[in-house]
Amino acid sequence: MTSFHDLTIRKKIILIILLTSTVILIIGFGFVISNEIITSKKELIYISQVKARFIGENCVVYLSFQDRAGAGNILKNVESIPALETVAVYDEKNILFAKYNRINQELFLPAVISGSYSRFYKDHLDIFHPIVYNDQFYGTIYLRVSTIELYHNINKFVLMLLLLLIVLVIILYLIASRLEKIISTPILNLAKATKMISEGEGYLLKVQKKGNDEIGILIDGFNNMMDQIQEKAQERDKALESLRESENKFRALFESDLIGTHFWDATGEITEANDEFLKIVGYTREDLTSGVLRWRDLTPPEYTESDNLKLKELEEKAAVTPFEKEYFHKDGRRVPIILGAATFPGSTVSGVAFILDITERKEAERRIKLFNEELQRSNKELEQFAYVASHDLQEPLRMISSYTQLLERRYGDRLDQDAKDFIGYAVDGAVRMQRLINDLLSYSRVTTRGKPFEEIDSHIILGLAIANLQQAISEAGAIVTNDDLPVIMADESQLVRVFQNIIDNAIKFHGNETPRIHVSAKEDDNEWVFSISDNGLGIDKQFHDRIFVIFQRLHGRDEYPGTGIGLAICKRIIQRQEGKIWFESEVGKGTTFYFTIPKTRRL
Amino acid sequence: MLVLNKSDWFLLILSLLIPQLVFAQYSEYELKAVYLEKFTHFIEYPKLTTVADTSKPFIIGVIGKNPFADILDNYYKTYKIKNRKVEIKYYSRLSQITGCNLLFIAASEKERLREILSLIKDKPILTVSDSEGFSQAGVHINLYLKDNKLHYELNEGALIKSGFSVWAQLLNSAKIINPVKKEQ
Repeated sequence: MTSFHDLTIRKKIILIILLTSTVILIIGFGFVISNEIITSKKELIYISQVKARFIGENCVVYLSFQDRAGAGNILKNVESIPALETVAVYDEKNILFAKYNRINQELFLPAVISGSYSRFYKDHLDIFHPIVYNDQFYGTIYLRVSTIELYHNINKFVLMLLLLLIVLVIILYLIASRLEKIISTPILNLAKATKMISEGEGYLLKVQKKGNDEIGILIDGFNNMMDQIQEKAQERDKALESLRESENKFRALFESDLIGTHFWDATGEITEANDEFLKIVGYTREDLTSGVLRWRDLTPPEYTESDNLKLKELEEKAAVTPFEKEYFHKDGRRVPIILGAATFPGSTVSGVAFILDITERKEAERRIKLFNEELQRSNKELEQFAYVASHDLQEPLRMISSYTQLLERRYGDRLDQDAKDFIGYAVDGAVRMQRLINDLLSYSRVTTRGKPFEEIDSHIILGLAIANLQQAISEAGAIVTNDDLPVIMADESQLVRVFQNIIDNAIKFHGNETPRIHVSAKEDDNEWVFSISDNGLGIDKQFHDRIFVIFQRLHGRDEYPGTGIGLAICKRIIQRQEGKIWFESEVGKGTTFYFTIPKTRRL
Repeated sequence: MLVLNKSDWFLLILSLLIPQLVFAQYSEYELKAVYLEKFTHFIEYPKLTTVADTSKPFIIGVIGKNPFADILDNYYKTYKIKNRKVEIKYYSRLSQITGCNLLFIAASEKERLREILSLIKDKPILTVSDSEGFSQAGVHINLYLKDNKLHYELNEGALIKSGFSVWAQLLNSAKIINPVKKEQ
């Protein structure tokens, strides 16, 4: 048996209307029936009482005059009233005066009950009524009234109502089955539309609205929903389109063969790769699809550990910064590569990897490295040679110088003036040679004997330089001024030398005016720019290229003393500091030397 | 359920067995005295008569040789008629009779009957007798004995003529003399 809930809405509505109406009808009919029973009984009582009074009043005279026979005759008339079964008249003393029985059978008469009294008992009604005439009490009349007809009438009435009920229910059913369509039709339409949509009819379907009741609202909601779904579907199609576009773009990128690309999945195996990747590792596409190409096999065993670290990084950061490693080529040789990888959003076990073949770059790097090593070695040898040479040259030079001086001292009185002059030239040359060697030595020592850099206040450096030049400064009457100077990272004694050499040059090549030298420093992004300016002779543009070259002199040896190594040493020191040195000058107005010192040292 | 107790049963059986017993308690004239009062129950006096005035006594007059002895006086000491005190007057002279409301005409007045009746002809006086032929002569009510039971005959024509209204049941229970034709 199907439950109520599984019934169609149509049947439910009919059933509900029928049930409700029938219950109300039954209640109403029940009320009518019970009212009818009560009313009928009351009516019977009333009619019986009227009869009793009437019969009683007809007996008043006979009671008055004790005429039993007369009263009996009156009671005989009762025969014409079928409902009356028994009538009894009692006198004022409640003694039976006259009686009538419809059935010839002695009935037990009930004891007299005074006053007006009635009660239904079994199939009859007992009525007692006082006989009163002109306010005079004459006695009591008793009626036994058959209720068979009453109940018969009531039964008839009930039966009639039952028939009416059945007819009404049938009419109700007919009306309900017509009227239920008002409610059920739009719902059924809605249900039909829903079914059609779920069977793939599309979302353009609309349900016709018939009113603004709740079903109307439901239909509005349904149509609205359909509109939204339609809109969403269009949006989705658009999104799919743009996805396809982006897929195409990506596909173009993937297949561009600019860079080796492959996808990998949860097992770590390569699921898809472009031609460039296959070219790098020397495998064919068939190798990839048949599973011969395995990611683990590509990696040489010594990379296993670092690869595991990279996998960990990938897991944590969803991407790996490109790193270098090697792959085994199919033919067994190793291919140096750069590899970068990223996981797909929301996944830690699948992603994409980019591989760049760096064989050529590696080769170039290797060559540069070799060249560099060669260069360093030759540089070192050269320095070693210069040092050793200058050091070893001292000894024979000192011999030349010593013996020449000895020659002059022992045989001076025996030599003529020319010989003495020649000896003097020889000594002079030896001394100059020695100075040159010393200069060369100190030049080479800039790199070989350099000290580590440490924090130092530039004021101290400048102070030390001035102290070393005290004599020259006071002789020339030079004035050295300075701005506020920074603390820098440098080799102290070498920096002192830079200041000293430049200031010394400024004093040496002063013009007619008193030499004025000013030292200042300017802060740039990464470095300090020192400047030392003077009001000296200035340097002609044609000498710009030569000024920092070792042993290059611009003036005659007689005019200005010096070997011409000072600025060369300065340049070497600043280079060691990873700075630059240059100058700006105008002949007759003065020169400004600039050099830079990096703020922080790269290690 | 209707239950009859012992005394009810007793009375019931008693009432069935001895219907005449009630009468046996009274003498003939005691009964007649009672009847006088009872007749007034079922006979209405004409309107606008002094009978309606309850402040005045209802006068029963007896003319002729009084057959009641002191029965009437004793009985009506306590009983009222039409809610009025009852006064009994015994007349010997005809001139006295017009002041009463009910006149009992004794058997002795057989000779003067016509005269008496003509005297009160147009007056609201109910006339009662107990002599044969009186009713035929024009007396309203005449009592007679039959089968040891007291009966009465009514002169319907005379009653109507005198302006009395008689209850139908009284007519039904009586022997009617000079009936009035009923208009159908």
